[in-house]
Amino acid sequence: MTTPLHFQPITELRRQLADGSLSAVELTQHFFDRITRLNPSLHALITVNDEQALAQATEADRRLQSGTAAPLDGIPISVKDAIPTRGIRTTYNSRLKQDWVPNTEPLAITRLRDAGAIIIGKANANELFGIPSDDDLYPRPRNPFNVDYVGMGSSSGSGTSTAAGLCAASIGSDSAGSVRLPAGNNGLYGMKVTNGRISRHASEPRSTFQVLGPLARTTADAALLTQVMIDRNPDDTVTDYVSQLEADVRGWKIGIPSRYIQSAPVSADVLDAFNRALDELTRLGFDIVEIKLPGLAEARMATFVAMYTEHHAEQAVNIRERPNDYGRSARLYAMQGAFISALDYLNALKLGERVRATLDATLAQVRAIAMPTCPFVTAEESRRPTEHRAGINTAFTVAFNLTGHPALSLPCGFAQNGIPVSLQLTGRHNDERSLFQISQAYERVTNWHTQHCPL
Amino acid sequence: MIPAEIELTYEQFMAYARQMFPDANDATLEALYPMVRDLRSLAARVSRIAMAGDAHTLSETASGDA
Repeated sequence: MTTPLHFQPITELRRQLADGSLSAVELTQHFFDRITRLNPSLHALITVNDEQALAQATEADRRLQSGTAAPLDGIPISVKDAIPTRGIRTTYNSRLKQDWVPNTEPLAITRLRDAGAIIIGKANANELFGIPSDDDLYPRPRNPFNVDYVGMGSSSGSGTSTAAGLCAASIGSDSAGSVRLPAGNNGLYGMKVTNGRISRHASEPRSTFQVLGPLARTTADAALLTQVMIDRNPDDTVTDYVSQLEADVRGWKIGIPSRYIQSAPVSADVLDAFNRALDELTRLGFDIVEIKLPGLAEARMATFVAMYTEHHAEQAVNIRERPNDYGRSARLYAMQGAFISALDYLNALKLGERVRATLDATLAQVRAIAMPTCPFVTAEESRRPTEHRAGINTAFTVAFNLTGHPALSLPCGFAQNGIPVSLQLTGRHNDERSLFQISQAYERVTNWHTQHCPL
Repeated sequence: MIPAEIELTYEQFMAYARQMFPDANDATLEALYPMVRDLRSLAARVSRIAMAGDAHTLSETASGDA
């Protein structure tokens, strides 16, 4: 059976655009038809960029016909509405910014546009990166695999819009797992590169931990988007991920921190899928080895201390002058960091350096570390008060925002309620390539990424 | 702000919060207090570990306990 256009990966769409069997206008209009039908109930996109997107699609068709197309020409993507986009309304799902049209944007977004990507809409996100509440400007996205549940992570709209086939891929931002968690919760591939490898110039907020990254349907799509976004020199072959996806991975060591994983309240569906993924990796020739991974809990605690402090600093003016323009949760989230001292903030960063050194030593012995992406299947489980207060929903993701290591989430199964679950690979600093290669090897022998939502 | 290792009492918190956030109502500050208490407790723990350096053995569990 042919895969519907809206679920085809970018690599396949590019082939059709290049051979003329599909036009960028047709493709963009197809996604708009899906958006018109599904977005009112899914709440995936806050702003739909129809007029500009169709004009860009027309331009893309001209370049495609003249043989001057760029790598992403004619590919419609969404961008998290907490990432500024020049000339397109960016609300942060906040009353403070509900009419803001930026005149600048992060360099990575400009690179995507220069590569021909069409920004079809701005994806729903937690208000100001905070905790969602009922009085947010825009309601929470639903999970398209089971609409009884909401989307996971602050880039939840990026996950929903891509998985529901409202766009070909999305760009999110990840401060504690917010690319990897919604990717994992939607059967997508989500990459958080090494901190600092994707320029965040003109991003808001100015966070130590936040990294922009793609949510995509395949490893190849995630690699292509990362390659476009990343800071690289023209003669840089290390970040030519796309042409180096296939590798002889036999014998590569993958470390499993079993003691850490078992100590977290991991749901049975997640653990079962994770263990089956390890079996598959073993069959592929990977050498699965037990490792100790001390410091992840300390790094999680340190990240939250530093992140809340930075968030308060970012919001310091508005939260004093316009507290009633924040949603209930976002208001408290923005205030609490006012009560942390500079000493405690700097100690949190210092602890991160120590955990990074520990992780570096472990990663010198293995090519990557594998864990589930999230202990839980649904955002609802993540929000249970006890787990959420302790940040347990980010038990496998947030440490790497502090230590800076790259991490990739990839689909590895489904829970009984139909929602995808995923595996996370963490690698050495600046070695995103190995993560893509491992992911590609696993994707070739599994079909999780081809099982789409029923919408 | 005083370091997290020194207790911030409820009264101190309210006095500070009312100056810092004069437009926030008491209900907001009441809701904020337990969050701040938990965050400062976390920060005190983080600072103790950071300042202990190698004398503190890093945990291998998700709770951070030995």
